[in-house]
Amino acid sequence: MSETHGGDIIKDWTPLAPDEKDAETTSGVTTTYWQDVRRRLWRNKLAVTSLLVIILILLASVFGPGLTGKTYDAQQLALRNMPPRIEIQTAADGTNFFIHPDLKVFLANADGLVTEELAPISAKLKDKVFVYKYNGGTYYLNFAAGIKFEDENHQPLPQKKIVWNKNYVLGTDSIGRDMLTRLLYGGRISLLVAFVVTICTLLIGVLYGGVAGYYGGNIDIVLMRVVEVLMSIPSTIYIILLMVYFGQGIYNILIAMALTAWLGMSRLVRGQVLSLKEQEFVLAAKTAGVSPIRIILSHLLPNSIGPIIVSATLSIPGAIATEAFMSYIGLGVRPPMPSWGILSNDGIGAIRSSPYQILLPSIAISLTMFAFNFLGDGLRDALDPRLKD
Amino acid sequence: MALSGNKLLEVDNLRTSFFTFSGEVQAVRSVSFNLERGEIVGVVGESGSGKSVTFLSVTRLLPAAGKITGGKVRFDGEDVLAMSHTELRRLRNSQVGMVFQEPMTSLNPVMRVGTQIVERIRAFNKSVSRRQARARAEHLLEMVRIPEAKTVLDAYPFELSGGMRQRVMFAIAIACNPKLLIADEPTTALDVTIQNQILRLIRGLRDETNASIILITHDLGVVAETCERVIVMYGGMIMEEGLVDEIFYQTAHQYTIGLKRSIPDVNNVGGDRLFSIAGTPPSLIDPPKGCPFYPRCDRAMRVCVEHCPPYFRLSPTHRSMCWLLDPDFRSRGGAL
Amino acid sequence: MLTYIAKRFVMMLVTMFIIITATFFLMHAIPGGPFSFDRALPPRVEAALEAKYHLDKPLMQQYLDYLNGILHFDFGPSYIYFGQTVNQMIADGWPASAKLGIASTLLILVFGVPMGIIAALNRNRTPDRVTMVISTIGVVIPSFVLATFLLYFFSVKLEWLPTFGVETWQGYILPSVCLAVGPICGIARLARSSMLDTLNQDYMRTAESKGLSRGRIIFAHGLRNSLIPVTTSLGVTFAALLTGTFVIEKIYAVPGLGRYFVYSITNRDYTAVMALTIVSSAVVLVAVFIIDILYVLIDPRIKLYDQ
Repeated sequence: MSETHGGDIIKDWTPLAPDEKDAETTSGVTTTYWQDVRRRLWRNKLAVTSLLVIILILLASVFGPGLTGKTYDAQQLALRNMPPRIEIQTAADGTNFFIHPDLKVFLANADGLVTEELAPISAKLKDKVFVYKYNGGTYYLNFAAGIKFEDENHQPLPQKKIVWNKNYVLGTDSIGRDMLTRLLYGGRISLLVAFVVTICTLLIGVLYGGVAGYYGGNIDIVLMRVVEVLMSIPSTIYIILLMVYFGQGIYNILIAMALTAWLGMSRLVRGQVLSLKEQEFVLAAKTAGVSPIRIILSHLLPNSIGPIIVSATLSIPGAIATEAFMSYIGLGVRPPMPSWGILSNDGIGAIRSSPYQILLPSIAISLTMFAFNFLGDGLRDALDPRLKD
Repeated sequence: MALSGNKLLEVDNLRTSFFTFSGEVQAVRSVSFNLERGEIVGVVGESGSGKSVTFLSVTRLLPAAGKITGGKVRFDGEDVLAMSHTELRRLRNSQVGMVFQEPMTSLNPVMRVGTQIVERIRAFNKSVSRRQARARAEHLLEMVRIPEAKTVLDAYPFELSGGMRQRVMFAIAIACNPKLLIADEPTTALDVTIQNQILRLIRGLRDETNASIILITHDLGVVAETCERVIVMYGGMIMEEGLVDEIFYQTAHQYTIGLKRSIPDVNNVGGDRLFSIAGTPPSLIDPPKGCPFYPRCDRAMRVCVEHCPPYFRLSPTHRSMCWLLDPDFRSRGGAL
Repeated sequence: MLTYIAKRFVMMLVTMFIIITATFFLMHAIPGGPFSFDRALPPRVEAALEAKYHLDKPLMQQYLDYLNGILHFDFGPSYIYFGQTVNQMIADGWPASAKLGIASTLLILVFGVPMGIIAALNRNRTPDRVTMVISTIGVVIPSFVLATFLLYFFSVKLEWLPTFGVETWQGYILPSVCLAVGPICGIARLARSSMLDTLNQDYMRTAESKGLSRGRIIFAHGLRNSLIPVTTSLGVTFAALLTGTFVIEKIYAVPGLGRYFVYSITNRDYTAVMALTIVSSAVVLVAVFIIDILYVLIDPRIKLYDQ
């Protein structure tokens, strides 16, 4: 390190005026907390995408069932277990056939619209061959080894094509109900349950926890002991018991779930209020003479709302899963009303023959849960970036 | 192992930066100094002056985002920056002891105090039996004046007060008789009565073991009482360095003058406002190219904005980085 | 420490008692009683049945009889499978459930924590990124949905594993994996964030400043502190695991208690529902209790907090 002064620089010994020193400039534009939150959330691509997905799902569930042109409980037994993608076989003369796994033959048009069933001329199970006559041609449905549809020379038909099922875009279930409508309506139910339960959780939990936290002392101790005891009972068992008692039905499951879900939220809110109460800015407000209502509204609430929102958002997937679980074991919504859990239950038996029946609701559940989960994570990161890795 | 005279520690043009999302934060911007054996040196500066980072760099204990970007560090003749991981561990284990600022969190809360001392003793020396190590640990606790050392050995940190925890930190630091003890703000988190005890402890340790001691602090009062030499840092650089008397009675830097004035005067009960140096520390992401202190300096000149001053020597032991000391300035009739 | 354990034990008993009582009165409050099937029984037959099952006694008497029965581990007769007692059903069913539970728990312990720790030690490098992606998916997806996908791929398409039943030990693979995936991923994430937190702590820097080896720093200093939050969450994990078995056993046709539970619910076999509720709750509560004891062993500060 040089300890001699460099002789070749120009040294201007003029004293600096105070304004030339800008000793206390702060750089950067100041933003409010919520602006920061919005900015951080917007930058999180995954969270934004999830939000869009959620909006789409909501729109589909609300408006979808009305737009499909079918209802969730209309049965069309002849067309049951039809997959979303069906194979159309075309004969030499251009007639299109659809072969149903139940050993039925239907007429169809080339792009997948099934029109009417063709009755067999002879249908003897013993022979393992059904015979059909249409438009001058003879056809055989041969199911000795696998299902084969043949023309009069016992040759397979010249053209085969797999197309989208035009009657039922997502296929039908085991008693001929439209999967698409049931899926969309099921979404309505599952989301309804999730939202209503979350709102109840918020209302009851925030009130209960807020009171416990704000007043502290004996009130807090009593209130929280109750919560502790209730929480030590596994909640699913609790819900199962309640549902056995109430019986199936959408209102019942709503009540049963709401009765258990508020416990966690009340603990969270109480913790938030307790820790905020001790913070210096509340003390400062009290010292300055701010009334308790204002303290609660403009100090305690805005600061605790972050974790509350995150917790609420992240509890939605859990509520969806619980409802699905309950419906799956037969304790949820009452059939024929569909929910994603009921659809899963209906479809599990046919996993080999008609896998789409269970794959569709499973994908719906997964997608929705992922979306809410990523949104909740994004909200959490946006609200408190320090928690982020 | 080469020895270079008497110097225990030689730091030459050390530069350390933190690489963050906002950019490169130059925490240490060219720091050079030497340390002799057996001396107590105080390092003074505000938060952000680079004093802690300098010594974390010396032992290469920087957090993940920190990197030494230039310079040389020689401990007892050996190049620290070129050491392998094992050599570094050995250095940390038996040559250098560090005491950190926060006694509340610097000890592992679920491990007994005795274990935390013993593990250092046995780290490179498995031949020392546990019993021997425990005995030594007990002796160390006594050296740092902890009452009922035997009981404290089996205690958990949360069972001790802040002052006792800090003493335990000292005991851990000197467990292997290090040649250098670095104490980073050892008294800042404690109240004044404990402070005194800790300072006496530090002096006692030097007297007993002839270790060199670096005492990092922002409190000039602590320095005056305990240190023989002082280094004043600001904005990642050394502003002034000298013997303690020189620093206090022949102060040669405006910043040091400001620090001295900031010490509250016991006699001034009247109610004058407390003095503080106006302004805030410089940004280390975009450091000024001239003297780091000019925005807050009463005597700043244009040259201070444009060119960073070199060090001017006032005595063999006293130097300061300030244009006011330039002979050219003096010759024009400028006064300090 | 003993007072802590004693307190927890008492809490456990109190909770069990509340569950038993609540279950009992809830089941008996269901209108119609267990014998009002779809077809109405002639009143005399119904009365005879009720007398046989002591349902004509006053409610409190039935309650006390039931409590008495539980103390002797007698859960009463099944109302659906006439002639069988619930005890027999439980005896039939618990081995399969136990095997499933143990297999899942082993998977969770063996994979969950190490995954999280390894991810934390390799932050932002490949092992970490892979773990985070897998665990995010695994945590969100409900176990029965996962069961569907796994069943479809491994059983239907690839035909590597049996679809249902547990005649061979391979039959346990898919169900225990399904049960374990959620908790493994949850614990991995928790272990990871806990370890990252720990690595940032001041005492880790102190440990490094002493010149300790990396291994010692991570295992002796970092691990124990990181495991504290993980242990806390194990109780909840276990409860979730248990309730998961109901559905998983049904899907994979594992002949265990869970499946019985579901059947009993669907068929309104009230004594069985009560008994299985109580047994399931007991299992969870005992597990939580054991975890509480573990927790005290890991974190010596709990003695301080609990005063």
